[in-house]
Amino acid sequence: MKSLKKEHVHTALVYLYLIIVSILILMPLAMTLFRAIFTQSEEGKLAISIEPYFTISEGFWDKMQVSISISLVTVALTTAISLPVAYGIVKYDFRGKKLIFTLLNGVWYVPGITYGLSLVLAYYFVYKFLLGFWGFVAAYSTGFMLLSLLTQIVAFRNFDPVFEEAARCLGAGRLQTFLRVTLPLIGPGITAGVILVLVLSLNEFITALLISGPTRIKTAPLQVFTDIRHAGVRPFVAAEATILQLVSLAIVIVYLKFFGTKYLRGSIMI
Amino acid sequence: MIKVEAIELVKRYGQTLAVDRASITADKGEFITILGPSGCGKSTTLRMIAGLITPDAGRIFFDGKDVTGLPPEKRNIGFVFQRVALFPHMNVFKNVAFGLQMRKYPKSEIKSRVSEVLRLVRMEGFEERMPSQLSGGQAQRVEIARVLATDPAVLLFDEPLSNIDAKLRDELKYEIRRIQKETGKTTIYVTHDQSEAFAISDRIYVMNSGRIEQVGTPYELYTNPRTPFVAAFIGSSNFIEVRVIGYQEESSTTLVRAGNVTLRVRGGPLLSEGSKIILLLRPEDIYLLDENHPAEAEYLNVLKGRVESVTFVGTFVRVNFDVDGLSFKVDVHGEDRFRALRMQGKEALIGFSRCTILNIP
Repeated sequence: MKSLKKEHVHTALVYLYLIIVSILILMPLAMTLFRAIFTQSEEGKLAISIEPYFTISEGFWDKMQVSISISLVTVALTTAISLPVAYGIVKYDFRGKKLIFTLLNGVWYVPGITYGLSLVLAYYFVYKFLLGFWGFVAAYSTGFMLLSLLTQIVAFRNFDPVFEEAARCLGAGRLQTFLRVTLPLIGPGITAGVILVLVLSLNEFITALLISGPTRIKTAPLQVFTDIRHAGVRPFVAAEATILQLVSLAIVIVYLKFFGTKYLRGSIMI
Repeated sequence: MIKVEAIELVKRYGQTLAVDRASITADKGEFITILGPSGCGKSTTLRMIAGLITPDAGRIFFDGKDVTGLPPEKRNIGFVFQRVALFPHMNVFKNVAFGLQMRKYPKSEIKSRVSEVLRLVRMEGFEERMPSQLSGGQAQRVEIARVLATDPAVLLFDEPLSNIDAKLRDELKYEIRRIQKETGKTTIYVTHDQSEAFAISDRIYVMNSGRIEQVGTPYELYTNPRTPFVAAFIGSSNFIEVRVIGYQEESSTTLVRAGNVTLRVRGGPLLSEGSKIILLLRPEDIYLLDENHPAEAEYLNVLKGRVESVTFVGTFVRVNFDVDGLSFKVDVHGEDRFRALRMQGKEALIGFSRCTILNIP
C-alpha cells in the first residue's frame, strides 16, 4: 500500500516536471500569440481580435514567399550536394579523411555571428557575382551544408551494407542499388537533415541580416526584425512572428505528409 | 548449371593474410562446402567468388570464363547471407521480385516466377508480409527464394543458418539440400559446423588459417584426415604421440610405444624404427569391454586401466580412461551406456583396432 502511494507520488512528480518544461518551452510562443490576438481597449478591457493580422507590414507576404523559395532551394541544394559527400566519407577510406571530418566538425562550433560575418566577407570578395536570390541561396547552402552532411553521415553509418551487397548480387548496379535500397533505408537520416535545414533556413536571421546588404534581398524574419526596431513589439509585429511560426509548421507537416512516411523513412521506422 | 573454379586466391588485410593461395573447384551441379573455424578465411573466399571482394591474386572462372574482374551484378550469382538481408522496406513479394525487376522481366512473368519460387521454399501466401513479420526460418526461406527467382548460375551460401535456433537449423539444412537437388544448381556453402557440412555436401574443403587443408567427401575426411587440424576439427579425437619400435611382417602391424604402453597399428611398414608419429583414435572406435565377456581376440589392442570419469551426453556416454598415465576418450553407445555409468573409479579393459597414423610431428 505504502509502495503504491510512493509510486503515485513519483508519477505525479514526473508529470509536474514535464509540464513545467513544456511551459518553459511553449510560453514565449504563447506570449507572442497572446500579444497578436489580444488587444486592450481604452477602458483597459482585453478583447480578442484578429485585426493585427490585417495590418501587418506591406510586402510581408512577398518576403515570406521569398523566404520559402530560398528555403526550399537551399534544402534541395544542400541535400543533393551533401548526400554523395556523406556517402563517400562513410563508405571509402582515403588519406586525410579524419582531418577533413575534424575541420568540418570545427565549423559547427563557430558562433553564428562569426560565421555570418565570414559569409559576408566571402560574398564581398569571392562571390561578388552572386547577388539577389541566388546569393542568399549560396550563403544559406554554405551555412547549412554541414547540418545536412552530419545527419546524413550518421544515417549512412547506421546503414547495414549487407543490403547493398544483397542488391548487387541480385543484379542491381551501383545507382539502382543506391536509389532503390540505400536511399529508402537511410530515409530517417535524410528527413531529419531536410527538416532541420528547412526550418532553420526559413527562420535564419543573423546570416540574413548580414548578407541582406550585398545580396539586396529581404526575408520575412528580417522584416519582423525591422518592424520591431521601428514600431516596437506591437500587435501587428507579433502577428507577423506568429505567421512565421505557422508557415514553418505547415511546411514541415506538408513535407512529412508527402515524404515522411513510406519512401523516405523506410519501413524500419514505421 | 556451371563449373566454378577459384584458382590460387589470395587476400590480405594489412599485415594479415586472410586467404593464402586457396583453390576451389565446384563441378556442374555439385554441392561443395568450405568448412573451417571462425576467421579461417572461408567467408572471404566465398565473397571473392561472388565479386563482393576483389582478390589480391588468383583467378576465378565460371565455366571457363574469367570473371575475376566482374562486379557481382554481372556474375549471375545467388548469394544467401549470414544475416537476413531482406530489404526491410519491401514486402516478401517485392523482395523476391527485386532481382527480376533488375533484369527487366515483364510484370506477368515476375508474378508467376515469384509464386513459383515461393512455392519451392514453401512460403506461398506470405507475399504481403513485411520482413519484420517473419520468423528467422521464414526470412531465410524467403531469402533463398529471392536468389532462386533470378535463376542464378551458382548458389553461394555464407553460413545461412548460424543465427537460427538448433531445431530449425537442422530442418533448414536438409531443405537447402532438397532445393539444391531439385534445381540442380552448382552450390558453394560456407559453414563452421561440421555436422551441417557432412549432412549436405558432396565434397568438403577444410580451411584453416587462410589455406585449404584437405578436400574430400565427408567419409574420406572423417576416416582419413591428413593433418592433425582436420582430425581435430572433424569429430572428436584422441591424439597419441608414439615412437615406432618395430614392424611385424606376419601380422602387417607396426609396434609403437607411448610411455609404458605398447600399441599395435595396422600398416606403416615404411616407418623407420625410433621415429615419432601421431596416432589418431576416434572415441567411438574404442570399446569399453564387458569384464565378464571381454572378447579380447576381436581387437588389435586391449589395454587395462581405470575409468577416471563418466559423462552422460544423451545419445552416448563419454568415458575418460587412464592406462598407465596415458589418457583415452571413449564414447560408449547403445545399452552399454548404462553399464558405463556405473564404472567410475573402477578397473576395466578397453579394446580398439582402428586408428590412423598422422604425419610425423
